[in-house]
Amino acid sequence: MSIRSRAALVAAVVAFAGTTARASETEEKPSEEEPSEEEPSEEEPTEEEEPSEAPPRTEQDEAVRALQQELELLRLRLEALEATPVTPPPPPAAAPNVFNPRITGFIDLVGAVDVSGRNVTPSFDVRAFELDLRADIDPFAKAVVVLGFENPLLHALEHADEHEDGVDPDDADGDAQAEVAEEIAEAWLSVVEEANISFVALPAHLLLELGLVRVDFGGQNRSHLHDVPHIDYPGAMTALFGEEGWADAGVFLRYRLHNPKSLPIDFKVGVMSRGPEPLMEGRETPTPVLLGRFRGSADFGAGSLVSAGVSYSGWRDATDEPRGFDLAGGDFLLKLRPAIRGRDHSFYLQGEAYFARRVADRDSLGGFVGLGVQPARNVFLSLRADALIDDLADPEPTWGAGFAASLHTTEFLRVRLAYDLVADHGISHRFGAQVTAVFGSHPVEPYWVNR
Amino acid sequence: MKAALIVLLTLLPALVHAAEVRVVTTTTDLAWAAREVGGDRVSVRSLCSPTEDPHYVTPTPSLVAAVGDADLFVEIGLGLEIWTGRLLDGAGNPDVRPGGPGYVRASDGIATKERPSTLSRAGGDLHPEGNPHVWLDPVLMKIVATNVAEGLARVDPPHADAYRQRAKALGDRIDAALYGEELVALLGSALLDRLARGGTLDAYLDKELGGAPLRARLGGWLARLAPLRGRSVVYHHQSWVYFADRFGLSIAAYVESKPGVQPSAGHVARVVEIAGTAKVPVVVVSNYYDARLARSIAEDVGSRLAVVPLMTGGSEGAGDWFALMDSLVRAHTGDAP
Repeated sequence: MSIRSRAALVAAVVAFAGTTARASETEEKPSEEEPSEEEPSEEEPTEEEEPSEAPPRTEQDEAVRALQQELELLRLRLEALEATPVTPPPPPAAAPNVFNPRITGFIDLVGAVDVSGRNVTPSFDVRAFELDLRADIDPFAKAVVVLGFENPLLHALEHADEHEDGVDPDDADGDAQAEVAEEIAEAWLSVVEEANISFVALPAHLLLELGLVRVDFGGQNRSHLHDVPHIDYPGAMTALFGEEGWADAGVFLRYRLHNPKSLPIDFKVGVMSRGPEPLMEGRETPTPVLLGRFRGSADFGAGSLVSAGVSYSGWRDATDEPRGFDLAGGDFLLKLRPAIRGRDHSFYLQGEAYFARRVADRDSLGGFVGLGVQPARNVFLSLRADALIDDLADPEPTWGAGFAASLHTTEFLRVRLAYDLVADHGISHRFGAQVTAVFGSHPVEPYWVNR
Repeated sequence: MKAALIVLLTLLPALVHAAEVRVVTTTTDLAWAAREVGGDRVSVRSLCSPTEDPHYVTPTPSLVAAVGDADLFVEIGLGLEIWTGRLLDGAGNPDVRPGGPGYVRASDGIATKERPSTLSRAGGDLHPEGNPHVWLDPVLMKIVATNVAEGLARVDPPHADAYRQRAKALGDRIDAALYGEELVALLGSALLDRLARGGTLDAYLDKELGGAPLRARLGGWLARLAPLRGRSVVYHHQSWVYFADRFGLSIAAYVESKPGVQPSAGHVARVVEIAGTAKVPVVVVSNYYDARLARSIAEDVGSRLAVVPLMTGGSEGAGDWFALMDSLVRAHTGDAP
């Protein structure tokens, strides 16, 4: 029964009760004040007996009062209802362009100077601009496209470095300068860094990726260059994967082993079309490049984890010519994050090791170790050391060590100063600066930023 | 044979656990609601620790695995958990993706506050759909519990009625804690909620019943915070609009110049000036923030500093959501526990 009808009913009852009470009083009054002409009955109350009739009248009055109070309360409720219209539930929030891809832009400005006067020309320029587009395709799949636009000047300078390290240093200057000039004249190089479809709604904890991806070999290679804790990738990684890391097109299937503790134990296999450029050395691949990876991880506290993985990739030429490579790697990450901000400092220790065997050619061994600490909310300090023996038969290691200090105004803007010591046919000291800005849609995961 | 044994051993844990509904929530408040509503039918895990900023949880592989094994995934939504997309994409569990039966957006049906009129990162960490800190309003927490119950009902239909009844009972307990038992018995939960949501409760309590104002029958948290009604408070981050509005507090200023942005010295000076003028009784900061700035402002103004948990389990005295709200009320009034 609604409050309105209940109020009406109670009002009617109160009215009736009041009428009845008044009628009762009216009927009783003559018996008290005007004795009936009729012969009084034996049960007619006397004045002494009146108190015995009082309780029924009191109960009736109390009932009336109770009903009146309820009526008052119901009236209050009714007023409340009339004063406060029902607020309809809000419509689902939706932005006007909700079906468009989320767009994020990255600007990476890098400056470097080599105080020993070798290899690096003083510069400060935009190293790259990246456009990240991602959206759900349908309930079963999502798409990611990352377009990179690289500065031809910096690219050319790196190219010139290669010439300087070439066989004939006397002629290198002229040739290199010519190529640099030629490349500078070119438009910015646009590169599709990622273009892939992930099938995210497969059963049995399977995930299928198709397309061009950052290859899941180790941990650091999954991160784009502007996301890593130093200005560049470690030297051992670039020597084996390429300057920009290793991106490849293929088919990748990941399976997460079900277990009662929900521990993340993942297996991944993939078939790719190209392989890492330094190992392929420009050759085409009529046969596919294979990838396998296993990774286990465990959390201990919020955001703190230890993770370890092993990876393998291999390729063999389909022809009789003995060409191909095997690349094996191991990686680990220890990350500690403060439980209470301001009391502790986050810390990470990360390392990767690689062994590369080129069929009928040299074997290489390399790796890096990095550690970082967050002394203040928006400041991160990182150390990294890396080494590479390019030919195990003629071991002459190249190595490097670096330090980077990064200041985040927010997770969207980072300023970094770095120093690197590089031992590669001599020692050089490089100082670098980097400013990285992220704008547009929110990044999926702030890298190393512990807020 | 060996392969079959391995498969059996792999599947066995899943079969053993099939009896209960595995609920994974983003925050501890949602985990508490899921336990209250689900009772012994559910096992619940919160991905975010109670002293962690729920905006910035690292989506570790373990969290991905937990979501992968969940029957029900509950998040606040409204852009609070910017990290869950990655978890859901990697989990390989289509049932708990948005639109699936095992997905619950706990803020559904809530009229959010502080929807920005202009969306720009120049405004700091804005939430386009409105402020997501809805669990700090008891009235909205009842909606959250109802949404959780409906999610449980979808993934465990045989016990749907039980979940709904438990959500209703939880709502009754929240009402008693918020309004006091006498007022709830007098006016009923539905009416009080309607008044509260419509923002007319305070004026309505001035009406008289039996010669005395209804306000005299008010109890619970509203009565305890009544002395502060209309007073201004300084908060560190923009987490408190629902709490402040529910209890009639005015937000004098935020320590952060913009959400998620460290304040400049000039902004801090302005906050001190505003707080001094408004004679704020308390400066409130969540315990996962660095409290130094808030402390210095409180000292400059001569106010109390309250370092409070923002989520259930965020401190020793906030073991469940009722205790959390109790501790927040105490932090504002200055009462001893």
